[in-house]
Amino acid sequence: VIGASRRWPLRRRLAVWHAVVIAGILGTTGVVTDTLLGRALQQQLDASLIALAETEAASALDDPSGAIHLHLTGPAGRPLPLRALDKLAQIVDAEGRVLERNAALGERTLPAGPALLGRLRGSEVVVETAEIAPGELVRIASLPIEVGGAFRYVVQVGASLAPQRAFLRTARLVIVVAGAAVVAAVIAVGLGLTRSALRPVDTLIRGARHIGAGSMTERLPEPGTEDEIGRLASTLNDMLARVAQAVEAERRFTTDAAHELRSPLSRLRAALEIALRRARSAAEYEAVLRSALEEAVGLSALADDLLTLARLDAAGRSAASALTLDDAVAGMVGPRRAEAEARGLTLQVDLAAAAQVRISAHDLTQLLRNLLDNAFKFSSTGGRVVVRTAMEDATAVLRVSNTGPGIPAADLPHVFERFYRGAGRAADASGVGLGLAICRAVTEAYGGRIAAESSPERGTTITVRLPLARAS
Amino acid sequence: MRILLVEDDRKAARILAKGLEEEGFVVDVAGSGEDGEDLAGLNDYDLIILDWLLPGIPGIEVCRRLRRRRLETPILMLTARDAVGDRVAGLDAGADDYLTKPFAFVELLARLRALLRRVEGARSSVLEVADLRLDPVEHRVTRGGAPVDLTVKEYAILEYLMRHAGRLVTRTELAEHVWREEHDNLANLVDVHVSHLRRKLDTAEAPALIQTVRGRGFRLAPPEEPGQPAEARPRPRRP
Repeated sequence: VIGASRRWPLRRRLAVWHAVVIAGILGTTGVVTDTLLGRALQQQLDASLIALAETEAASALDDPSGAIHLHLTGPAGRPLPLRALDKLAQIVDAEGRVLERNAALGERTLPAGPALLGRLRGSEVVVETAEIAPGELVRIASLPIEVGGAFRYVVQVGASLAPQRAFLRTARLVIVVAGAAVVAAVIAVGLGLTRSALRPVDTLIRGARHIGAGSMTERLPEPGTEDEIGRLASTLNDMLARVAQAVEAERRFTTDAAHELRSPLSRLRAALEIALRRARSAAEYEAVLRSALEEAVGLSALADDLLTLARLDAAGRSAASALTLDDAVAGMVGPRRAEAEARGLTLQVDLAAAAQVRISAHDLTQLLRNLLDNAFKFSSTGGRVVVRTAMEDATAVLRVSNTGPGIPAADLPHVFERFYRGAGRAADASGVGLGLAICRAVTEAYGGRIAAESSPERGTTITVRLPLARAS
Repeated sequence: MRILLVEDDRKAARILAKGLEEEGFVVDVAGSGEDGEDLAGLNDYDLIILDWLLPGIPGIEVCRRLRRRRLETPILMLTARDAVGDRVAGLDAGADDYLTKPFAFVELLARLRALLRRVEGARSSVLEVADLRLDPVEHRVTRGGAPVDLTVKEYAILEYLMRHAGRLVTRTELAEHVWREEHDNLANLVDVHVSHLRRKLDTAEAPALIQTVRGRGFRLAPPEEPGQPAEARPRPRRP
């Protein structure tokens, strides 16, 4: 049942558990009330029987004749007190012989067996229940009367238990009916309450069903309340906004990547198809092959960049080792001097960070290579590229600056975005706009930060801050 | 046939222009949407090839602006985007056709020919005047069934005249659609090429098809048909 109830809607489960608990409480209360009520009625009856018996006993011998006699004789005598109207009464002698009985008893007698007489000999009051006729239960109080210190008579006063039983039956019926009504009311109210409380949840569910990969702009309906459901909806919507942003970035990246792959492929295909349309001279073929090779080199560089980004996105950092930043930078910058010279640039290196950073040598090489590529590309001829390292605020700082026209202020916030190329960029400048995006991906994978600053006609500085390797 | 190629990828533009010129087209290249718009207003093109992704105004906007200026030159859009929505947007902006990169060069040629045909209202790809036939797919010309061997320029002149058969084509118009460069004596050059063309086409048994309209230009028409006056048939495109 528990297993099945797990599949029930929360609404039904709440209502059922509520009803079960309330029914349990009511049932226990009913049984206890019934028992206590029965006992109280019994005690009251017993007390009244004993009182009547004592009154009887006290006045049994007050007749001037000295004969024992009953006062509860009924209609023939004086008016009876109300509580004695339906009482049965008799007097028996020490052997149980009936000496006198009242009219209510008629021809019947109250039982006065040897066991009772025996107990009364110890001069105690005995109250017991007996069946004087089939189906007629009577409660009887028996009281001994002593004359001159000897046990002579017994006064017995009885009352039918039927009215008490009837009263208890009615009380029980009232308890059961009222309890059932309460349980039904609790179920109904509970169902209604939980339904209205959970209705916003149903709305949320319907809303969430609508939202798929294709409709990331949709949001869950917010009930506009400050309660749990309202907070749940607005929290989920915040999460959806972040997911939508990530999906959109992913989609844009894929679209851009497809475009950047298609453009060179399209050129390559067109060039080769056109070359094959007619016979050409060896020099023409060579030119076509050279341009095809150029495209192939560009495509493999693009593929490398995309794979690097994919790897950094998927796995973050590679197996890192503690590298001394200055040594690593010095080793990587050296081989680029010839290229700088060929471009007519001065390459200046200024190292002051002997501290260790934890980064994979491969990723640090990628980072530095892309920073230098970028600096070389945007330097005007005769310009200067400066690579600096420093220790600042317990981080290792790597700065690559270049003199040149600088980055327009409008482009500056976007330079680390994937495939971002400034609007003012020359159409034939090489690269697809992934270099600085890779720099950021690498830096962030190792818990660092990257920033760009630029002033027009002066140049650009890219600053990378990497956390220091902890001595371990 | 003169084509305007609007493409910001200079390498791609160079390759395409070369391929198209080898097919007998005259190609002007514009590197941006603005340049493309200016050139389209300046010259009378037979076709415009428009890249979607351009710096500045995007290709689709260039297309819209040209159409707003009532330019009716067929426009073929090139793009790396191939979502259905993009294709629909491109065609709705006034483009006549749409080709996704990377494409087969032969498909581009076939689509350009189809666009040229559509302008003429023709269904068949082969151009025919009397017993003269020109097949733009094969670049083959026959007169009375016999093949005629033409140079690239002669072929281009004949194709232009045949596509506008029955109408007066001025020397300047012919020069504009067949030569790319500005020549000092372009009119002279046109005359020389047309006379070469006539010599190759006309034989003793086949009467002359290219008539000279003195002082103005040429008209290609079947010999028994006098040819309609130029004013009677409006030019299909307005620059």
